[in-house]
Parts: sequence; structure tokens; C-alpha cells
Amino acid sequence: MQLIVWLAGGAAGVVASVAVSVALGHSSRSRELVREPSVLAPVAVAAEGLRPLPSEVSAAPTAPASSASAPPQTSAPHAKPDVTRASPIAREEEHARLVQAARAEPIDPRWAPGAERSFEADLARVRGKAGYDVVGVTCHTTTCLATLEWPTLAAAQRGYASVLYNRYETNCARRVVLEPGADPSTRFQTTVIFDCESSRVE
Amino acid sequence: MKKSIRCAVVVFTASAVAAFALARTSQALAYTRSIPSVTCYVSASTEYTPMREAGKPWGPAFVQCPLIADDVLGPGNTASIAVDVVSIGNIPVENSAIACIAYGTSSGASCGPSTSITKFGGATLWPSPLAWNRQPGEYAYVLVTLGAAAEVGGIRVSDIPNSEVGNRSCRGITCN
Repeated sequence: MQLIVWLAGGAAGVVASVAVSVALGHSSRSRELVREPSVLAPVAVAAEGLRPLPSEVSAAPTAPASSASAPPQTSAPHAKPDVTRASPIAREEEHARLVQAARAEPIDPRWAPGAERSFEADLARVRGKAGYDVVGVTCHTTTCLATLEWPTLAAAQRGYASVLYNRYETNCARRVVLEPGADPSTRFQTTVIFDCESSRVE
Repeated sequence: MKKSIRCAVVVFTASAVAAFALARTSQALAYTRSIPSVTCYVSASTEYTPMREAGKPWGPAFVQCPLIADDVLGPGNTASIAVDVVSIGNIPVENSAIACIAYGTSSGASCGPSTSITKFGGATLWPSPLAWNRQPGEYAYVLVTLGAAAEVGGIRVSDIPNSEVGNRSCRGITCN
């Protein structure tokens, strides 16, 4: 009788703990899966940059555009992440915001001049095959901006991949967005953002 | 009888703790996905001419390999990317990789920092998933720049960082 009671106690303990564990696992997995839309939505619509701006991060939870476009969030275990993508205009606006934020960064005199020379040299090396002129390179604290000019938008569309995939001595994350709706017959300028935050930490 | 019940409670508690710990350990398994090189293609948008022929290596070439993303493992929760490359020539060649995101509705893309290795034989490159993590709603891929007589073996992505890959068991396949 004593043995039966012990075994029953043990079995009940195992069943109960596994049930609790599974329930916890499911709820944490659900949270993980459902959390993605709340991260995705502001990123996709408003702050899809190399590095979210502090103001964007703080505004993200209440961003009406993102919550309006995101599908309803449920606690279903296999809730799909939000795959909403920014429209071309929203993407261009976001790129412009990131450029503006980079320009507002203070200039680190110990790092910026060397990084500028390095990017100028590397961009000059790719210039021939990518078909652009380097208008200017400016570096600040963790970000560098390179303004490039192509003969036409079509030339930019053909050549921007070479800028992205180039090996840079200052090894940073990089981003290019080509403005939608630009006049195809005129010279086309775009600003490449080099985000060097992670490489400066290393 | 009272003593039996007391013992049963002790056994209950001990079993519960042990089973809970075991169950949590098993749930801590990582997600890892293996993407074969047959999904990759030689990029036409760069200066290298496609050179892939049956039975021959790709390189020198730019090769793009997509992340096959879903609700479980996508750009937003990828913590490590391992790109296996093989150089079959008779001298060590440089191969490099960079993880990028292509915008679904715009012309443009963003990429993380690049990584490279110069070696003969098999090697693994670990490009940063930075750009993937920051724009998880877009299309993720890896651009591999192959030296002469080199080819991509495949890509493994995981939701655990490089340092932990190989140290933990993985769901579905072995991580290391």
C-alpha cells in the first residue's frame, strides 16, 4: 500500500511538472512568435534602418502606422510573423531619415578622417566597374555617408550591387536605397550609409 | 498511513523538480536549418561572368544563396550563419561572404560587414547576420565571393550564436 502511494505521488509529480513545463514552453514560444510582429512592424514600416534611431525605438510600441498595418496579434502557438514590407516611398523616407540622423552625429576626430580616406580609396577602386562618381564621403562617430552619382537611374540600378558587395578596409554594414520615381533621363545621386558601430566595437 | 502520505509528497516534489528540469532542458534545443548549395545561383548583377558548368566549380564568381525563411527561423531570429566553401585548386584562394537583405518593394539592399578566409580545401565563413536582424520582413540572402576553383558547399543558419553552435544539440540535424 505504502509503495503504491509513493509511486502514485511520483507519477503525479512527473505528470504535473511536464504539463507545467510544456505549458510554459508553449506560452514562451507563443510570445516569441508573436513578439516578432511588434518588432517587425515598426521596423518594416517606420524604422527599417541599419540602426534604429533612439526616437524611433522609443516610438515603436505606439507607432500607429505599424499597428494599423500589422495583422491581429493572437496567442496562437504558430502565429505568423508580420511580413509587411515598407512601400518604396516609405523606404526612401526612412533612408532619408537615417542619412539625416547620421549627419547630426558629432564627428570623432580620432576616427572620422582615417575612415573617410579609407572609404574614398575603396570607392575609387570600384568606381570603374560600378560607373559612378564619388561626390563626397563624410564620417562622423559611428557612421559614414558616401554620396555617389551615376549618369542615370538605370546605371545606378546596374551598379549599386558592386558598392554593396565591395570589400572595404573599414568593414562596416552598408545600405543603398534607390529613390523611386526619379527622372530616368537626368543624373542620379544616392547616399550610401555605412554603419560602423559594430566594427568600431570590435 | 500519515508517514506514507508525507513520503509520497516528498517523492511527488522530487519527481516534479526532476521532470521539470529535464523537460526544460529538452525545450532549450536550438533551431538550425541546412540550406544546400543547389539553392544558390551565380549572380548576374556583378562583374564576374557565370562560369558554372556541370561537374566544375563555380569560382571565380559571385554566388547568391537565399535564406529559406519561415515562422520558426527567419531573418529576425538568425543568430549565426555558417557558409561552407570548398577550394579545390592547388593553391589557397580567398573566399568571402556577406549577409544581405533585399528590399521586396524597393530597389536597394543592405548588408552587414563582410568576412573572408584564404585557405585550401574546406572552410567555414561566418558572416554577420546584422542586416537580417534589423530588417526581418525582407528577403535575406548571403553573397559569397568565390576565388578560382572554389564552390559553395552549403549554408547553415541557427538561432544560437556562433560561439554556441556545436556546443548544444539541435533539433532536426546536428549543429557541428
